[in-house]
Amino acid sequence: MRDEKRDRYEQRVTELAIAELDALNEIGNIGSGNAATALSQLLGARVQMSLPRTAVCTLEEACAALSHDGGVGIGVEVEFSGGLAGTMMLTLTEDSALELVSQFAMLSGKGLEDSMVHSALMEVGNIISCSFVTALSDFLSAQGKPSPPMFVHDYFEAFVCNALAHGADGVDEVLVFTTELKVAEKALAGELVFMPSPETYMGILKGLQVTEGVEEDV
Amino acid sequence: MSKRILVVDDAAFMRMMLSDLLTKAGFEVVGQAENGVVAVSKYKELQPDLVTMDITMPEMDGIQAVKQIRAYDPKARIVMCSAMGQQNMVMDAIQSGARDFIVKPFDPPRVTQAVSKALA
Repeated sequence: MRDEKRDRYEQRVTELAIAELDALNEIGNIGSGNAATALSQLLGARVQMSLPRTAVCTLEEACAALSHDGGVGIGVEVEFSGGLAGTMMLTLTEDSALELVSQFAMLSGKGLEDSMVHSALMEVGNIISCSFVTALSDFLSAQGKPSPPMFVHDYFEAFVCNALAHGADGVDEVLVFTTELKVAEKALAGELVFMPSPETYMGILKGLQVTEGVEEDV
Repeated sequence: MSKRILVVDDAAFMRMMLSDLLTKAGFEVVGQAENGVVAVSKYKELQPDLVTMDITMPEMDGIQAVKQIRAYDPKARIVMCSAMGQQNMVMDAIQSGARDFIVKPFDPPRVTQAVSKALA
């Protein structure tokens, strides 16, 4: 991102109005609702997602909030490019990842080192990321093209911070939606995270028509 | 004789789920491919009656693979299977020559119906 655009973005992020935050919460809500439905169909189990939290914070704060106190877990990251660009990530502790895949009868008793378990987690991350972004795409009339999903099994701090820093494209203040999942009445320790790219974020605000009097050219 | 199907998806787990579903519906899964390049090569080798094709894959995506398969065999029957249900992706797939488009996760009756209709 160019310096001038970055300055303007950071100024807008820190000056977010309450109406804008409400509108952004609604965006997160639409995305996570669609993602919950897709995951429920895939697992054949009841899936609940909490109302998404919309946070505007520094990269460092986002990273700390999603690091699970230095624990180890898995992450599935899908990057979106085009008019609806950003980073989506499903993060889960090891126990919760196993809890999730145990919903598939064919994977019962298999551990996190099993390649089919990796593949199943990748596909779960892929399907909920794509359904989240598809819902936003319909709502905002913008298109996002997904990358193939990437799987990582490491310290949360290492992979979450790396993904967020990559997606932030040089800005320090970021907008992050996070949602927690409950599958078959059991809460999973982890999050579904969506961080729109700075330019997409500005586009979302424009699309929502909550930028009255602010004519950013991004 | 049951119809022969080639299943293309970069996720081994989805290939397994889809193959299982199709086999239970009475189709014969004759091969699997993990990207567009392998899909084109296996299509030529196996000459299946139908291909189920994912879109987002490494090496070569599903839209490019459909174009190459249709260039080799204009009568090829292909059903797209993608987690992205965005309208422009559906349009791209149909314009490239796919017969139908299924959004993941799969609803088994919808898969069977789309595959049967494309084979009719």
